[in-house]
Amino acid sequence: MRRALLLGATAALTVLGGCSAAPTPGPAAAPDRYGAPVPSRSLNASGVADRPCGVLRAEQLEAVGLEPRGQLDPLPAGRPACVWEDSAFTQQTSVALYPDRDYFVDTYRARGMYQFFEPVTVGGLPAVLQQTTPGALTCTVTTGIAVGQAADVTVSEIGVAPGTRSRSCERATRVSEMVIGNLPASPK
Amino acid sequence: MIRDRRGERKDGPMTEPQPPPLQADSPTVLPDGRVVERYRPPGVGGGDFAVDLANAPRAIRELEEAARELFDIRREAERLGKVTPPSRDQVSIDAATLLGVSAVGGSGSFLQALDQGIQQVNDMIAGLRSAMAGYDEADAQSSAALREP
Repeated sequence: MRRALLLGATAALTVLGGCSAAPTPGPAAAPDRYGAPVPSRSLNASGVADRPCGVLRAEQLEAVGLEPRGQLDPLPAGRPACVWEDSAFTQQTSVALYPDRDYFVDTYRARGMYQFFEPVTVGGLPAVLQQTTPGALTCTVTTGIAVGQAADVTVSEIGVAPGTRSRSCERATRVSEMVIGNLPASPK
Repeated sequence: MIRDRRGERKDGPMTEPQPPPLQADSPTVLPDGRVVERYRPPGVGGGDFAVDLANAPRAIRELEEAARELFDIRREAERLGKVTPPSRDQVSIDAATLLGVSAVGGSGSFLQALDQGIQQVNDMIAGLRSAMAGYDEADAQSSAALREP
């Protein structure tokens, strides 16, 4: 039901976009980045965006305690995510790549919606940690891997004892570093 | 003496009172009369709960499935909350922002409600896993005590 509502909202947005006034002709303005830093180098995610389960190697998954086999999650409005869990189900990690959408800028456009929104650097690239409330069990790290490309890693912890500090942002940052380290440089 | 219409006694001999059902914190009485206290699970959500040990593993599995479902919905909501405006005109940008606010943003937003739900499911799973681990530990201690010469 909730999924249907979400999809309906996306459809409504598409219709609204279609009904809006035609853009004024003229020289193309520089795209507004909503404060998102420009990546200092460019990686290319186009080769793995449709099969994100291959973006992490088995030994990397083992190093962060995840099972080697991930499950593809076909998400709406974009490329699929790959979802991994550990054997005791204490965490779930997902990775999605955006080779043709500046999801990093979109994240900055939505920055006012998170209570915790912390710009960081991951693998020498601009990234941002996001949580709805500080210390929440879920943390998302979005990294700008090139102008117009992004990598998104979300870690959710489960079964955390009350009073125990969530490590989801640390885990998501570590996985992001691995993902970025595996992506090829963009051809010049 | 009380009898029903068929003449059967209804105030028959009383049955022996049954002991309370076994729970995670029920003490164990060893054959030599010693009583081994069981683990008492910590309170969750401001109150204690009794664990039906036979059903606890199934309850944990079902809660884990609920957590997975919440994670799935959360992934979709977060992505849709950052949807790119279909064009750069103000109407599209405002519509995208509005969808973002509804899905992702602020107190009472869908995403925050999902995170609160995940937190509640987490607390229940943590309590049950802890109770099961405590029970297994107490059970191992009891078994070890029984093996003592």
